[in-house]
Amino acid sequence: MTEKLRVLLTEFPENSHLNLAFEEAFFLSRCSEWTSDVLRIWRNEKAVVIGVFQKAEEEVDLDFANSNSIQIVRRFTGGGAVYHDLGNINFALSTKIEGEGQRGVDFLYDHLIYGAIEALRLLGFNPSKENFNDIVIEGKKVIGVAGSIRKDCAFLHGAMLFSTDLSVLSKVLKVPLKKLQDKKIDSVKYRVSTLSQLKPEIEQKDVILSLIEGFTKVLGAEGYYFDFPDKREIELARRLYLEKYSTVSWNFERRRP
Amino acid sequence: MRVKVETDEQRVIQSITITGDFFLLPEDALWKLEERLKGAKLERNEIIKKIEQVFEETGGIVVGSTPQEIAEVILEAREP
Repeated sequence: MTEKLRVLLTEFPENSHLNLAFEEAFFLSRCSEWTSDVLRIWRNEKAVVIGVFQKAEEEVDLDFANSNSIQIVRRFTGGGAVYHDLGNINFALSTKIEGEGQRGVDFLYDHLIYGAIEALRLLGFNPSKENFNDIVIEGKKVIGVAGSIRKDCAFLHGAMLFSTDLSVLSKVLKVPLKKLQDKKIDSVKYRVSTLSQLKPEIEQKDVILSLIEGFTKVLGAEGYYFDFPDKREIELARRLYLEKYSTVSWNFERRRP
Repeated sequence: MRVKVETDEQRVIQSITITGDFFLLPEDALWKLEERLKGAKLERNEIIKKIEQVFEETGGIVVGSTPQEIAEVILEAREP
């Protein structure tokens, strides 16, 4: 990529279902070649976002979520459940797979993920990667990513714990104990921290700019520009919202993608 | 990864759901796998064969795990 990276701050914090509809809409529009690469940075106000292979009842304390007005939404990528509040900063990149014979999954987890790692470096941290999709600082997870591939286009999104209320996180998410005993999965998945705990002077705007710079660098883009979603992206998101992300069958009954 | 499986007296799978925190691409391959496992015998070689078939047909990739490991989880599953 030699052009500038398109950056969107499109968010609907009070409507996690619409947020997730836009997440898929930006990816599909990139796959359809309507648009160039896009980095989106956004937040949910109070939501648990579960992976496409997960069942809400297995991952979430539904009574706690209900009594605390925490929305539950299923995303189109795999991986585990995450808790989002306004202190959690999400990023999502849609791009094309580059490099002959490059395996899509390697492109996601050995290449694109470095956009987020670079962002943390720019903020003065010394991050490292664990379990192929977790980013840790001082042994504690601060970012988890998940991705998808459609033909030659790649999607990577992640949740960054900036100042998330970890007490709510630990109450609303069920930690699978069996997994902790599984030798292949390091328990760092369940040892989390926030950037604010590690470096209180960091501001949200620093994080946003670092993410933009990190992904600009990893894509080899010549800078970046801010944009709005275009008409087709909005229409696609609206359709995905009505037919998928706002439905009980998608969010709670593990409907086939 | 959690597996819920129901079998009949001959150990033939009547229904199966595979849920949890894992990465499989393309995502739809999981539902194809569940479909394919219905009617299969809950027995190591048959399960591995079905998984390999679906992965071959869909270009399926499990990230951070192997088809054999999925087979192990299925074989360890207890009936609900």
